Amino acid sequence: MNCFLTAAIDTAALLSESGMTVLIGFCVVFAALLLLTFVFWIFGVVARGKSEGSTETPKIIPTPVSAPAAPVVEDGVPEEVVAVIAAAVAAMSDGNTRYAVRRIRAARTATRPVWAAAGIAENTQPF
Amino acid sequence: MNFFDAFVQIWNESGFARLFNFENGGWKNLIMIGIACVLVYLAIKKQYEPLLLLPIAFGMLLVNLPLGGVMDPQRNSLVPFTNEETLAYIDGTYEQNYPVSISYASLDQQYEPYIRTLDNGSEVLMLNDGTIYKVERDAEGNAQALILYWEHFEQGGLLWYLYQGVKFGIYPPLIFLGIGCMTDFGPLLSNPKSFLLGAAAQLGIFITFLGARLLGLLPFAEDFNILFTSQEAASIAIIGGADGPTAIFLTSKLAPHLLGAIAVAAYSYMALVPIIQPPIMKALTTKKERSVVMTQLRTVSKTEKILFPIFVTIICVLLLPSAAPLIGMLMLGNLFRESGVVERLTKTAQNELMNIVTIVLGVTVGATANAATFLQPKTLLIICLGLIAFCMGTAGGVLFGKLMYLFTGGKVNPLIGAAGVSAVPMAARVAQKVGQSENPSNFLLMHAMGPNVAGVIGSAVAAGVLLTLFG
Repeated sequence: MNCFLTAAIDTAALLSESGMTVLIGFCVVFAALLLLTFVFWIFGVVARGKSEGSTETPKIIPTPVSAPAAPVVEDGVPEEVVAVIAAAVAAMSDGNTRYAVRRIRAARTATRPVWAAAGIAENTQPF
Repeated sequence: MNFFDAFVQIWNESGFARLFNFENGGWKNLIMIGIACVLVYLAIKKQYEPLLLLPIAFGMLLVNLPLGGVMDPQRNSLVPFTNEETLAYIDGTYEQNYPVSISYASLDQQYEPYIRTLDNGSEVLMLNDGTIYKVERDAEGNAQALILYWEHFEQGGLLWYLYQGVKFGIYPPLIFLGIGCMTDFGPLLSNPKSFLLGAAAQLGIFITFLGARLLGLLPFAEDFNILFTSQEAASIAIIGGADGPTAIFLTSKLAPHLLGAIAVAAYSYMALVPIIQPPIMKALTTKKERSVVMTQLRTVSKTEKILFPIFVTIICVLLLPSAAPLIGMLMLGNLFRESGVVERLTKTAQNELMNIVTIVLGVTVGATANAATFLQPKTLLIICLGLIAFCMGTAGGVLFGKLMYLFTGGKVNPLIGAAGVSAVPMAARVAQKVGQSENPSNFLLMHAMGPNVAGVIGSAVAAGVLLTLFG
């Protein structure tokens, strides 16, 4: 009986200590990042001017009923390249115009040799 | 000695003999060599975080080759003088190849009969076993024996010296310096709410800590040696932060004996982000939530970008001083980048320095995974708990993303919450990919980069909390 009591006390102590660690840890992490959120939200407000208070929250654009097909990515094109192209296209968007990537493929052989292209670029640059 | 005897002697003194001496645990080294080779394969063939996994795996291979001694510690010991050396020392003819250490022992009257006077007038104490000590007397004539030693110095292995950079917590902050130089915090600044997603994704760390500690309540925990101390549990839990340097930094401070297993688990899971995360993201979100399109982020001014590292450093270090090495170096690197006035330093920190530190960090962390410490039931548990930490972190981010989706009236795509588990930039790419598979005209990458870089700060803060509590 005594043994069971000791085990129960140990269990309770362990639960209490671990639970407290989780609570304190998570609260401190959240508090720190909440403070940073607040500080940099103030930054944003100052940067945009107090009159424009609404741009910090992203706006939703309704999804079209017929969504375009997923982009066809040619074999051998790395995911990093796909991501960069996606980011570049996203950067082009002004929030109203919609763009879709339909196909990504590696560029084929250059139309003229690299050195010839470099020569043309050098000769035509002044103009 | 004939040819055959010489050959047998060479064999017996070789690493092969030790490796195939199964009674003395040679099989453990063979298993470790096998594991190291599998990791080399994964790094080269599958390209699982090769920049770190390859040096880690090779370090593991190197340390498990018997008699290689690459991780042998430096030893300093005192070797007592022989009688000849003592006599030479008294004569003044001792050739001092090593530093001499002298300790003194007072002699009682009972030792007087054993004291002899040499021809040159010096006194020596000659014990019954033949040992000789030089004797000196003070002003009152009391005798004391000089016990002479030479300081024996045994050089340590190459990786042991390099490992000191891990032990003293030098390499991970240097890696953070390079990461800071490479990271654009613009997406985070343009949407500061992303910080909260970075915080929520640290849920995995704390849930796993709890799980690791509660394992000790299992009735067979002691028999299977799966009891984890608070320090060990904290080191395992930090895998959920999906940040290799942070995991190594914290583990080297709290539970260095688990460093090999934790580093391997952390980098393996980071490489497996595209496999681990999507099912969790899809399970916790609806098609409608995944299809939310977020609009273009605002442009962040240069002033904001310069002030960001300064403010983050001040706030985080004042709040959690133990996070200073990680946060401080991360933000210093970012200040280098954003200031635009130290281009040479920026390039060095993100290229040459980062590469050099990556090599020594990887190979030395791998070298801590020797058979004795790695082949334990605990290692398997660490790998399982690491996976749980990672999954819980992803779930925490996504669930908080859902909360933001609800509170903002559907303006936030919950998928970007999964990127809160650091693993820059792969976790953000996964959010982009999963979002685009639902709605091909959706570009979440830059929105996901906000929580992604917030996760780096969040995991460093979490490491600071654990270090404060258990360091």
